[in-house]
Amino acid sequence: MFGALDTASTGVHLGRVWMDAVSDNIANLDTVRAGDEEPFRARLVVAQSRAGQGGVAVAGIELKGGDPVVVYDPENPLADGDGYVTRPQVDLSEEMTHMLVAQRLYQANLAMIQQARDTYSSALSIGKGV
Amino acid sequence: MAVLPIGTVTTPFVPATSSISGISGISGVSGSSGTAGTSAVTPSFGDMLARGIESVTSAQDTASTLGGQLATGELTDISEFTTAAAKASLGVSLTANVRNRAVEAYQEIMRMQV
Amino acid sequence: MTLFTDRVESGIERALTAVSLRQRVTADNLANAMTPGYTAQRVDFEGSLSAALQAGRPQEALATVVDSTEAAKADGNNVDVEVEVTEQQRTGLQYAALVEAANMKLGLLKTAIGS
Repeated sequence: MFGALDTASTGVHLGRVWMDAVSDNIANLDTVRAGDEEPFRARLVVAQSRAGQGGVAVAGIELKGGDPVVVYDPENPLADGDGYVTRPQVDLSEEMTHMLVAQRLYQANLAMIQQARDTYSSALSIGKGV
Repeated sequence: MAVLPIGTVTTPFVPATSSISGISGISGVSGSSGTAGTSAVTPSFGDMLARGIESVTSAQDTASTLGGQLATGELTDISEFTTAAAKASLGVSLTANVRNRAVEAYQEIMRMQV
Repeated sequence: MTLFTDRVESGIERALTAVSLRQRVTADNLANAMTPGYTAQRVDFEGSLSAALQAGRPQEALATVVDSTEAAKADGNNVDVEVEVTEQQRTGLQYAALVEAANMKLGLLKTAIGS
């Protein structure tokens, strides 16, 4: 009955999960690890439409791929035995773009919730006073 | 990645389960516009009143059915219920008014000197 | 019911249901604005309603959900958030206007019935 509202709230949820993931990625811009370890990899949110119900679901979180970027930095306390560290698989400009998009998604779906609510209210007002 | 169950199927948006489309069929006449094909002569007042009452009752039935769908959450468009409820309410007012006027007219006649 | 339902009122009621469908479709487009492979959908009904009203049978108007024909991005998604937000605003106003129209007709009936 309140289909538009339920659908929009899934969009809001996705927006929020996405913004959290991007924030997490940005916070780890300088997270180096020992050269022989797995690097920190940016979190990517996977969206999937909810067939039959309307709206979107968070299908899962993937890790960004890419070959590790290993750098010689023997002074670094995290360096491995040979003095290497591995840089995080996070690209700042990519993450900033994602943040803007995620925010827009969040806002637009939030506005949709409000508007759906207004519409249901006005439907309820039909015939009031009759 | 399918989205809505409706897809590209043409959907009559008066749902088959609601009795709204049934209502236009029930009376089969245009009511007050008097284009009933049932009799060649102008319908009697009694006929019109009977049809009017039938319309009011069916309006109440529709509102009631939709109210049920509202309660179970099946109703996709709230405005169907609220318009049906408003019409049912108007129907009740109309019946009450017609009855009151009829009673007044009767009393008026009874008061006449014979 | 037919005492109260002239063709205009009938047309308004059908429009209300169609516009609420359009709102659900727009909400779906907005929620899936970033879903890979998703095709935005639209609701066609104005043409059908117009034709049905002219034929004097508004109850035969149909609302059809169709895929939009906008070009897709690299991941197959063709939703433009700004277009959908505009559609959402327009739909909201359209619905409110239809409610006004319905209330006006009901108000006239109430007056005609008297108290």
